[in-house]
Amino acid sequence: MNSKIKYIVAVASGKGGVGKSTVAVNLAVALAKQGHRVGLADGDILGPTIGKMVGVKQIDQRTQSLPIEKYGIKIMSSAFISAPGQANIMRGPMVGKYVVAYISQIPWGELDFLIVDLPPGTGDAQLSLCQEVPPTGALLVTMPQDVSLEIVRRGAQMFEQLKVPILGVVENMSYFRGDDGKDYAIFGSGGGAECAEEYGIPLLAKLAIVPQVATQGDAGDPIVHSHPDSEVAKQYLALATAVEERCKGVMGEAELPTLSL
Amino acid sequence: MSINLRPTSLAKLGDDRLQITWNDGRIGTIAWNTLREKCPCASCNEDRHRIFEPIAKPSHDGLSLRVLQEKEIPKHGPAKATSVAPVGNYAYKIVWSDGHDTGIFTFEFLESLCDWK
Repeated sequence: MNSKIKYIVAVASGKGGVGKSTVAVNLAVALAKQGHRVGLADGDILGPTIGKMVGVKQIDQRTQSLPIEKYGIKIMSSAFISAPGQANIMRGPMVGKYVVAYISQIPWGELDFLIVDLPPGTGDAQLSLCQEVPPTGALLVTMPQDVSLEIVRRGAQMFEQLKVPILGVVENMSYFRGDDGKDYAIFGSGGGAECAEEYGIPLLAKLAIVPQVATQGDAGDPIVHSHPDSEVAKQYLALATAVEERCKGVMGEAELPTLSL
Repeated sequence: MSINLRPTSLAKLGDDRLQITWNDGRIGTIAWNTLREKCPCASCNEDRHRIFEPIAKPSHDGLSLRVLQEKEIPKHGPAKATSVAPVGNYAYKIVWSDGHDTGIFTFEFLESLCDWK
């Protein structure tokens, strides 16, 4: 759809609260740190969180243009065009239109990566994206426990049906490293690997639980930017490298032919 | 994950068939009439289950347009395809001369409709 964007990566999960937005923001900043031109579109039209995570509220569109630029990335979110605390109330088909508009109607310029943070589920936002854009691949975010996996499977099935390659699984909140140096599997273990194995897709990262990830998110300064030397920031940088590799791997399919009569 | 089968080229074969070349080298053809008949969209599916009525009942907006029943479709037209364009990475959408454009034909479905030489 937009030939100036090299790779479009959907960050998805069948379930809410696994850290999709946190992963999307930090992955975007990590990719930018590696020298890529990166855009981040908040596809969660109804419940945008990206604005908060990068510390930008509603902008004055008379003086500031979209997408905004911060931490080396270009960003678009519903949060920038709605008053703080204002609810976005709309039906599914409108949500789908907004998601597509955030990709095709925002002047992104030339990008190496456009990360699309999707809302949870397998509905209008995901379908519109996969039918009208479609993304280079999808990154499935999950947590280690079974209940989370159960739901991520649905996301995997959706992308499989829509023939959007799954780049890999990211297991968020994988373990906590205590002061004693030991790793604690707070939410169980092995879930991400199990899911990855089931679908024959790689487990690209197991991200540590670090309280600063959440506090930095709330403070609007992503951990990869604020604590670039922390363990989790390094995990994000490794994830960025892996995502780039996978994108290169799944590309190469020729464009589908069109017939006009 | 089977994301492999996909068309590499489309062509018009004579007046009444679509020719699809697949990426595994096979070439299949489908009659346009068949495509119209098998249109998988929701309203066509619904019409298929409806009892045939020679005159359509006017709908709420006063129009009485509806999808043709199988026996109403003449061998050559009247509806002709005007374009066959990809939907995402998994399907094709066919736009017909009468404006019907809601059918999404997945690659698997197209493959199943193909006649092979």
